[in-house]
Amino acid sequence: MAKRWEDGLREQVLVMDSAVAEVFEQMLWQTCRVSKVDTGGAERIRACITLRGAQSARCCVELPITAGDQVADALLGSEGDWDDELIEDAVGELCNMITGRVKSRLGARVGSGNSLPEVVRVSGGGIRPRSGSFVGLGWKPVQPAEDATRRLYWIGECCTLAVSLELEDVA
Amino acid sequence: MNILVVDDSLVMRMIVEKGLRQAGAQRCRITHAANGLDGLCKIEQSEAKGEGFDLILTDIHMPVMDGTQLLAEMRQRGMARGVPVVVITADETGGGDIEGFCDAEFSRLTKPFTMEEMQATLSPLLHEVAHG
Repeated sequence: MAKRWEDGLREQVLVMDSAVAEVFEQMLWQTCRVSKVDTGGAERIRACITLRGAQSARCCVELPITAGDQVADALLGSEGDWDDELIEDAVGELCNMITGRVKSRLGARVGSGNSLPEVVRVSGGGIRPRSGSFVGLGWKPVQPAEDATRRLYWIGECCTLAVSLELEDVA
Repeated sequence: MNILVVDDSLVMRMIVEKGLRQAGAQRCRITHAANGLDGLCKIEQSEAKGEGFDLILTDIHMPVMDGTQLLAEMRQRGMARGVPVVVITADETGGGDIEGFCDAEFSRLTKPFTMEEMQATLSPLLHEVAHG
């Protein structure tokens, strides 16, 4: 049982690393480097996508605001003074692509139903929805589970991107 | 040449527009739509003016109306007949039988992609559309 759990965890790590590497190299023009340190950040952007089906999955990415700016620069191929909405959109798209690659690697084991990326801002003051969006009174942000498999990758030289993946047990 | 780009992500629409311009669409009019319903409205408005679109690029997973529904509605209403469609998506198996709703040339470009891959898909299409 323990070995099966370890094998499952190892597989998830391999899936995440290869998915992130593909997205980094093709869209962000960066080599994927795993980090052991979370550089943190007072204000962060998080995006999550849920895959629903026979086995559900949730993939989330989270990074500091300053790194979100870098992601937008890299995706659009030029440095810009991007507004909050565009930066959040860029992070949502990053999550979308990583999740797509994870889904491709996990194959029929995960559901075919993709949610749209839910993008939020996380800070000491709490969690708020992305700029310009409207949410209902009972809104609860989607969050990665505490026991989700979590990996850190360098974005540029100063910041790290946290990617988490959880299989099954997705509410 | 008129091109329609349908994607709920502004960043993705900007990337696709840049790719189109680099693939040979420098003088084309490129119209953006934020979801399938917006795209449907843009097609209707364009056809009402006697113009129409020559190429449509669409995402699959979008709010309000997704890419599969967009193509299904286009087919049901007889809109954009014979117009090539490129589906640009991170979900390589998504969309169900989306190709079945397209009565013209159909291509799929899976994200992430390099600029070279995008141009390899778009350049032949643009050439074909431009030269009949």
